[in-house]
Amino acid sequence: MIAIPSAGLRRLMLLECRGYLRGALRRLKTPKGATFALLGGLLLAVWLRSLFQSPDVIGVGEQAIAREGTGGLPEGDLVLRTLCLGVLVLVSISGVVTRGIHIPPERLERLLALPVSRSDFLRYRLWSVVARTMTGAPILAVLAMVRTNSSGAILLAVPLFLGLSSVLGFLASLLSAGMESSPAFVRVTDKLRSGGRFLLLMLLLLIPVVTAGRAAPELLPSWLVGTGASLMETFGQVDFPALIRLLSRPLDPFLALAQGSGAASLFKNGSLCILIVLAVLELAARVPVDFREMAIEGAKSSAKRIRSAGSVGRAASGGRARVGLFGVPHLFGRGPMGAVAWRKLSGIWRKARGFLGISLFLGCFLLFGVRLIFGGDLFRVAQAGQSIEDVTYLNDIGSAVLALLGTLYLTNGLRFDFREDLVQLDILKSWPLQPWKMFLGSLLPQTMAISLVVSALLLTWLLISEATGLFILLLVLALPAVVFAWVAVDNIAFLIWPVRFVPGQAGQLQHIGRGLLLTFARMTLFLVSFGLAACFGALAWLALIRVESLGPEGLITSVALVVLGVLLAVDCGLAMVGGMAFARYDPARDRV
Amino acid sequence: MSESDPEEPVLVVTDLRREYADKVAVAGLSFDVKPGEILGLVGPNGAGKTTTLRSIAGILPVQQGSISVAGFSVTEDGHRARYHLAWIPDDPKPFDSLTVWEHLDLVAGLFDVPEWKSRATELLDFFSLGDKRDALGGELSRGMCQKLALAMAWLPRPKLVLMDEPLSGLDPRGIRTARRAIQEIAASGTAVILSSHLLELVQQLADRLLIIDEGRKAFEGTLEEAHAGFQIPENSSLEDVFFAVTEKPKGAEPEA
Repeated sequence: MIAIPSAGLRRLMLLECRGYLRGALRRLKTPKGATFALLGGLLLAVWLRSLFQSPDVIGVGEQAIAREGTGGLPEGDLVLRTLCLGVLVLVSISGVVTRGIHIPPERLERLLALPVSRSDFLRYRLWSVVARTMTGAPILAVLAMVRTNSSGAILLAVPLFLGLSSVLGFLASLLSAGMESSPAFVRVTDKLRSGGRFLLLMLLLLIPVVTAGRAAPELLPSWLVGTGASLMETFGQVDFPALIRLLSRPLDPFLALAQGSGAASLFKNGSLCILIVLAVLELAARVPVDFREMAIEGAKSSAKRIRSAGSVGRAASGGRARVGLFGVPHLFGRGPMGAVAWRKLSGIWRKARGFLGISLFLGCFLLFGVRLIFGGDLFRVAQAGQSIEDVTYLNDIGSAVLALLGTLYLTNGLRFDFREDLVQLDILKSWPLQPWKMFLGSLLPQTMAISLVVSALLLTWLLISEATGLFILLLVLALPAVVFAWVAVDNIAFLIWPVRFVPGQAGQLQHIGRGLLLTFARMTLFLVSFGLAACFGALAWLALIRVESLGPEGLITSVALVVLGVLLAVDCGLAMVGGMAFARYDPARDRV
Repeated sequence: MSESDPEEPVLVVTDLRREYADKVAVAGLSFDVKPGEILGLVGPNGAGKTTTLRSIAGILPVQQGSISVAGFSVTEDGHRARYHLAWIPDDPKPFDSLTVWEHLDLVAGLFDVPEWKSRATELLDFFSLGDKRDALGGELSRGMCQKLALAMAWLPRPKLVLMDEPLSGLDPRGIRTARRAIQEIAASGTAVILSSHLLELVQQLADRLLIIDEGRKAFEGTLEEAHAGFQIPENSSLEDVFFAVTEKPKGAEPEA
C-alpha cells in the first residue's frame, strides 16, 4: 500500500507504542520516577505559562491584514513563512549532519532481518519518526494558536507541518548518507576539505591583521574596507520579503490552512496538506539508498553516546582518536598519578587537536568581538577628551569577559573527565592509587589545556588593547584554580548522580526533573566554592585598605593573592570530596 | 607478609556480604587463595561471582565482612591492596586514545614497574600482539582486547589476578594462548581467581573450586573432594559436580 507500512510492521508499531506507554506508566509508579516527573511537569508548566502569557502576539490571516500598516508588529504571514522556512532549514541541516537511520542496536539486526521490502521498512521508520514528532505537536499547536491569534485550523496545520518537516529531515539524512557512500562524492569532499583547511588558515592569518588594523587603521589596506562596504551595500539591497515568499511557495497550502477559517478552507487545504505529507513520505521510502550499513554504524555511535552519558558524544572527548607524529610526553611525572594524567593528556592530544584549532579560530573572533565592544574606540568617539584610565577600565572588563566566555566554551567543549570514562570506571577503580589522586590526575590535563588556551587569548588581548597588565597577570594566575573548581564541581555532581540521557531515550519527563535538581545542586556547589573565595577577598580588602604603604596596586595584588590562596584551598577540598565521590561510585548500579 | 611463603594466603575473604536494594548478592562468603594457586569460581548467572570479584578488586565498597590482599585490607588500605592485584573484567575495553604499547606504558607507570620495556615486548610477542604495537585501543577486535588485558595484568607481576570470563571473544588460537598465560602466571607464584562458565576450561586449569549459588558458598575444594562429598562417580566432570551442587536441596551440605 502506498505510504503505509505492511500489516506486520503496523502491528510492530502498535506494540512499540503500547510498550512505550507501559514503560512511562511503570516509571510513574515508582516514588523516584513520580517525584522527577512531578518536578519535570512543573518546570514544563512554568515554561509554557510564560510562553502563553508573553504579550507580543503575531497576527495572521484576516487580523494580520487589519494590523498591516500600523507599524507596531511585523507582517504575520511573512513571519510565519520565515519561521517555517527556518524550521525546514534546521531540520534538513540536522538530517545531513546525523546521516543514515538511527535504530537502537539491540533491535537493529532483528529488524533488518525481517522479511519485508526495503521501502516497506523505510515506511515503518518514517511513520515512527512522524509519530515521535507528533507527541510534542499538540502543545506547539495550542501555543501557535494563542501566539498568532489564529482560528482553530492551526491546530491541524501545525502537526501536519511538523510531520512534513520530520519526513524531509529523514529524506535529507538518507540522501546525505547515500551521497557519502558514493566514490565521486568522496573525491569532491576530499578536495573541498583541503580547500577548507587552506581557507581556515587564511582566515586565521587575516583576523589578527584586521584586529591589529583596528588599533592602527592606517595599516588596513583600503581595498579591504571598500570590499566590505560594497558587500554590505549589495546585501542591503536584496528584497528579502519577496525572496522568502518565493522560497516558501511550496508551503502555501499549510499557510493557507493555518490562516484560513471556515469548513471549506479546512477541508480543501487540510486534504491538500495530508496528500503532500503522504507524497513526500512515499518519495522518501522509495529513495534508492542502501541504508543497512549506515544503520548499523549509526546504532553503534548512538550506543556509544548513551554509554558515555550523552553529552560527551558532542564534546571533543567523544571524537575519534588519531595517532600523531609524536608520542605524548609524560608531563606529570611517571608515578601512578602522573600515569593517570598522562592518559588524559593523550586523549586531549589525539582527539581534541581539531577542536583546539577551531577554538583558537573562534578565539580570534571572540577577541575581535571583545575589541569592538570593550576596545574603547566607540567610547572615545562618544566622549572625546576622556582620559586613558577610562579606556583601560573598559579594556579590563573586556579581559574578564574574555576569560569567562573562553572558560565556559572550553569546559563544555573538551570534557576529558569522568564522563568520558564511564564504561571503564570499574577498571579505573581497580588502579592502585588513592581516590583523591585519581580525581586530581584525571582533571589536571583538561584544566591545563583550558587554562593555556584562555591565557593565550588574554595575552593576545594585552597586546592589542590598553588593559592593565597586572590584572591580566592575576587572571592568568587564577585561571587554573578557577577552571579546576568549575570542572571538579561538575564531576563531583556527575559521580554522585550519573545522569545519562540522549534524545529518543525513554523517560523524558523524569529527565527534565532530575536535570533541574542536578543544576540546582551544581549551582549551589559553585556558589559555595566561589562565594567562599569572594568572602575572604572582601575581608582581606577591609583589613588591608588602611595600610597606606601598599598603594592601589599592592592592595589589589594582596587581595588577589588571598583570593587565589582560598581558591587553591577550595580546590584541595574539592579534590578530596571528588575522591570520596569516586570511591563511593558503584558501577553495579550503573543503569541507562 | 613474607614474599615467598607458599602457605600464607595472598587473599583472605571473611564473611563478605553485599546487598542491593532488592536482593542479597553475596551472603557471608569466606575463602582464601594461596600463592600460585588457581581458584575456579563457578556458579549460575546472578550467583554473585562478579560482585565478589569486584569487591576484592576494590571496585565495590565492602558493606560487611573483610578482604585482605597481600596483607593489606581492601577497606582500610585500598590503594596498597590494589597495588598487588590485577583485575580483568569480562569485557575489557581499552582506552581508545592510547596505542597497545602505551597501554603497557600506562600500567608500568601505575604500578611503578622498573625496566618494563623489555618485558612489555616479550608480552606482546607472547600474545601475538607485536604487529599491533602502534594500533589504537579503539581499533582492536574483541579478542585482541582480551589479550591486551591479559598482558596488562601480567606486566607488573601482581600477587593476585582476578579474571572474570577471560576467554570470552577469543578464537581457538587465542584460547590456547590465554590458557598457557594463565598457567604461566600461576607458575610464577601469582594467585589466580578464574571465574568462568566454561566448566571444561575451569576443570583443566583450576587447582581448587569455589562454587557459589545465590551469594552463598555451595562448595569449596578440589574436584576429587567434590566427588567424595556429593557421592558422585570419580570420573564425573566439573559439569556433573556443578549440577549436583547447585541443584541439591537448599541447606544440604557435602559429606565430610
